[in-house]
Amino acid sequence: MKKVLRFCACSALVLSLYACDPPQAPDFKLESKLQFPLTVEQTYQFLGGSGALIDTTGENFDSLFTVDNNGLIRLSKEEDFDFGDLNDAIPKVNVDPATVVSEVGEISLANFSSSGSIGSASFESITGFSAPLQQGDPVPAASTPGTINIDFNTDYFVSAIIKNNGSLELTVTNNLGFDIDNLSITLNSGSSFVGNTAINPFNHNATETGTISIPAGTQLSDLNINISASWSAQTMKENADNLVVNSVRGQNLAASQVSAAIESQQFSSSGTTNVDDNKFLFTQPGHFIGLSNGLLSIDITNQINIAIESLDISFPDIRSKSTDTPLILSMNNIPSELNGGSFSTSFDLSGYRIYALDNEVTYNIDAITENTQQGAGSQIRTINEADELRASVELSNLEIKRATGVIIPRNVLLNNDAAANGANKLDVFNDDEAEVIKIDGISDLSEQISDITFANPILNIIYETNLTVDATVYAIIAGINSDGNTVYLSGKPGSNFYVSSFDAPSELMANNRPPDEEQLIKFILTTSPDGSTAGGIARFDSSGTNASEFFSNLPSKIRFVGIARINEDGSAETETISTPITFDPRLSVDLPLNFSAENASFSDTLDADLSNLPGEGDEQQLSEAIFTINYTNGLPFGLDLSLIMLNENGDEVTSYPLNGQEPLMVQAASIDPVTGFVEDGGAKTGKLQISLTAEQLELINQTRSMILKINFNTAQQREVKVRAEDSVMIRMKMSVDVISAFN
Amino acid sequence: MTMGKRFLWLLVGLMSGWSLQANAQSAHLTAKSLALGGGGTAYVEGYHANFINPANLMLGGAGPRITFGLLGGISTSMGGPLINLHVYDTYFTRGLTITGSIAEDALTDWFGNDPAGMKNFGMQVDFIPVGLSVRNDKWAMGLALRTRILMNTGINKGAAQLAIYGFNAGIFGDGQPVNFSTSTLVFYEASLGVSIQLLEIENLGFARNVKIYAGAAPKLLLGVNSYKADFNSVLTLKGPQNEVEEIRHDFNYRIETTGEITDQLTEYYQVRESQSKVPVIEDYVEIVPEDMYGVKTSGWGLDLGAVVEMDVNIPVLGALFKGAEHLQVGLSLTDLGSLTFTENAGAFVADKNLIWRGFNFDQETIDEEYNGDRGEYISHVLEDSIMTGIYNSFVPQKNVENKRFLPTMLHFGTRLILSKLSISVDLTRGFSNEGVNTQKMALSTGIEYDLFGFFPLRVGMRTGGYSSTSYSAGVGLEFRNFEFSIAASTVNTLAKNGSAGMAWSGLILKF
Repeated sequence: MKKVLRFCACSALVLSLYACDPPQAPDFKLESKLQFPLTVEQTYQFLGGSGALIDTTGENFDSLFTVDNNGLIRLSKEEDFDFGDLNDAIPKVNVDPATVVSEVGEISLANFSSSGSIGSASFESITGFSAPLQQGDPVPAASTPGTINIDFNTDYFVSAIIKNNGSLELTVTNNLGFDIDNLSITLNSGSSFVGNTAINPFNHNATETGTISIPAGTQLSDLNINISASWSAQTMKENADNLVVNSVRGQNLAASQVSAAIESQQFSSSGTTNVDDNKFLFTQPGHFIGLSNGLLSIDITNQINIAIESLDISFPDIRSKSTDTPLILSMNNIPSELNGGSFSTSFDLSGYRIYALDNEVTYNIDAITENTQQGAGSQIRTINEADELRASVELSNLEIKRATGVIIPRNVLLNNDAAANGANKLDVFNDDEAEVIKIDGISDLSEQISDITFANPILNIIYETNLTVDATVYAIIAGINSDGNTVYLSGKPGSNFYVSSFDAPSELMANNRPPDEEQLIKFILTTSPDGSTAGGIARFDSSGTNASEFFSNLPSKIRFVGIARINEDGSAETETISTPITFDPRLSVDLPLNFSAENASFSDTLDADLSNLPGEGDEQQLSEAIFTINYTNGLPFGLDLSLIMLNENGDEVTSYPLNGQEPLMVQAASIDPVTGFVEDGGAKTGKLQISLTAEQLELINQTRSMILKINFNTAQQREVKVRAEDSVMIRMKMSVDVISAFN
Repeated sequence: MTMGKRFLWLLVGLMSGWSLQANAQSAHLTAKSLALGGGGTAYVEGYHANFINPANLMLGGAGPRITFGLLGGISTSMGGPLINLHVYDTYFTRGLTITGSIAEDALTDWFGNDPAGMKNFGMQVDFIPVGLSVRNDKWAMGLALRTRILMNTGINKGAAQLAIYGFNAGIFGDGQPVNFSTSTLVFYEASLGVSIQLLEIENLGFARNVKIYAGAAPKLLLGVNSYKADFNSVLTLKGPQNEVEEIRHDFNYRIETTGEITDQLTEYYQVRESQSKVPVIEDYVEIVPEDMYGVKTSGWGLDLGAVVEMDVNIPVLGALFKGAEHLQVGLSLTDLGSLTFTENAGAFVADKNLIWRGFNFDQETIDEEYNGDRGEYISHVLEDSIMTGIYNSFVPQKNVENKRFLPTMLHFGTRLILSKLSISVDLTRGFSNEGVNTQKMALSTGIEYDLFGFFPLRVGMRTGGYSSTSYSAGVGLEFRNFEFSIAASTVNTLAKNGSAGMAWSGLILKF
């Protein structure tokens, strides 16, 4: 019995243990759904704050968009150019250096001596009496036996070559004590006869003048005279004395060369110098250039053996702006040749105007030599009529503040001229030369959108200038999009903006090559009527330019080089131009969102780290994922969306839609055919469903980034207009099947 | 971790008792009684008798009269219909994909057809650090300290559907209740049991040496922690197929707390009400260890019982065994009493609804408040706005008393000793469904064979109550002055209401 009980007890225990077998390990999968709305019904206005499709409060779009009175959105942006000034527009005028030569010319001879008597003859020599008679003594009629020679003592005169026909005046005093009926005088130069004269009667105590003609070419030196007298019988009126030659003077007597103590000689000359006529013409008396700076330099070389006591150089064409008086430079004591003969001086011309009629500047020189007959010790000098006084006149560093005249057409560079590609060459792709403007908002659009055609974009160059001279700006304006594609803004043939190859400025280049017609554009600057600052706008729109093509390229950068062609037609007879010449341009983009699109594309790469999603080999797997997007599209264009998932290496993981999967298309709203805007109640409602396959879901967790591509089309590829309040409403829901394995 | 996986692990956690919820039968278990099916009304002796049937203090016959236990008993039992091994084995161990009709069948098997029907899971942990009993001819006394942790949690079918189906418009399109509840009660007991012999009859005709004992064990209850939460809701996913446009969750809950957490939640509420920004609850709630062991309230409890032992002579069967057949019949009423928590007691209620129609990506707000980070915005919406702003929008109630009744239970049991073989049968029934208790009748039977006189082999079976039929077994070493036993029980893999239990007798010395 015990064995039976033991057996039973053990069996019961075993059975109990058997009955208490532990549960098996779990081995099952859960397929659960996660179905929930992802977003509330949200309306994204096209333009607005941070909740809009385009956040105009964002850094890049701030102040970029405006809305006009019709509600049309305009992408507007202004960026300043940095050209500095346009002072180069004022002509640069050069005046040829000139040397003023003044010859001494005919040398006048007047005083031959300084004392009261230059010679005399005694009573005895003239009368032949052995002794002088006394008063009351009878004098028998007689004549001078032979001739009497009187040698002149002329301390001022040594010799001269007479230049012209003149005469010498001899002043003689009769102190012989009796009256002479006739005194015959013969003038000799040394032993050579020069001329004669006679004085009759010549009473006692009288002083008479005898004139002797001196023909040109006469050489005078060692002057003396031969005299003879005849008289009637008479009684001595006084005691006998000498016949005295008081003086000899030249009358209208000029010499070509003289060696003498010379009185002051005055001589003058005039001349002109040329003003460069390449850039500016003075065609009327009132034409002038006003100088803000300039230097008149004068270098004088005195080649005359006599000092210049005073020298006046006058410039009747250079006049003070304030007093309208000519410029006269007065100098003194210019040394003679023997003492060096050089003299230099300069003069600041700021504040002066140059009236250079016919581009000539006239000058006058007036010089007065020293008088060597004066002062202690008269000095004998030998001078020649051909002796010169040279004055070199140079106008340098002329800075023109104002010019009134005829401005010769010429080109002025608007950009910095870098030396690397040569002087006077501006290359639109040279960063050191071109103005480069990046418009952030357009840059962002450019990086993401292509193949859109804007209907009426406008590029304005808005400027302020005080330029008073007609000017035409020739420019290369290159728009470069994010892909590096370049479209040049150019004028349409026949428009005011068109630049023919004939007119193409040689200064402008594109990639080191002269630009084609299609790369150039021009516009006329509106000038200031009175030199005050005035504003102007150069408006480039589709009517006269390829602005539509230019902006449809969505340039992320706009490069500009240009020149201003001043007074291009040259027709104006008088222009006035003054510095400083301001030219403050800014580029203004006015891009109405009025466009057509045929498969225009938008692309954006978004960070999308989906590594948290289950993937291949994970305990959890996604078996199905459906994203439903309900939309009401009030935008005037339809969208065709696609997604490309990229892994961490940028390689494609998968994409949507694949072949056979429903395309993601959003219908465009209905368009008012007249206005181009979305018509009232024209919004289209629809639903997009993104249904990912199991294969896609297996790979999707490798996604690290996602390319969102949107092709958008306007209805019938017509032009449409976008208003700020155009909006799209979307609501997103998701349904995901998750399989979780437990084993 | 995905939302679905989180739910699943939550479910697994609940099933495994991780959430400190408890159920099954609240009867005190020893290593011996667990091995014999979980009864013991008529045979659990020594200081353990205080908690099952105090009258049993008088049992023991000629054996040692003093019993001392050091670490004198650790037992844990868990179970409930939430642990459905049949469903588990049928659907969750065979590589099936739980979807469609399979999921529907599994949930029907598990929860039935009533979407609101709750299935619970309970766990009880008893620990007797020390116990002492002394027995005399006419009276006996027992003194024991016991730490009890009673936990219970339950979810309804909707909650399970949410875990399995996820946010599935096909299931929740018309709205489904999603409910759960949980409760925890931690307390100490200091029990003093007294048993006396009421009557002794030498010969009653069919029995001899009939002795009737009666016992009572009043006990001082020291409440440590009481926590209850009841969450009731209706989840509705509105919208066409695959396109849920609105998630609506109407919910209400009540949380009863004690201890520091009450102050923390109150402070959180006050801050939330005083400022515009919703505070993060994690910044306010921190588990304070003292809440896990500090005594916060006290009360009195009582265990009562009576037992009859007699020698009987059973025809036929008795002839198979040597000596007289000994029969013990017991009746007891345990866990009378309650605990009322007033110190730091709180109740927090909410009655809200969540309507979710998707994220509102207001870029301006995202830019200004989240530095343009959408991820941060999403995190804020999910964690702060929804979890904190809506689900944490509770309101504290004032002057709260959290009263918790002990899991009163009526026990009736017998034990028939046939030499080295004994057979026991117990019937138990709780008086409430609160806590770990159940009003369902449970039947426990067990057989013990004392192999070699010191190596008892025990098997048992239990059916009814919260769990399906569970089987138990245990062994022990029982010498005159020393005893050590272990036992374990579980249901078989076909059981719809699972249970499991373990017990360790500790070191028991007898003199």
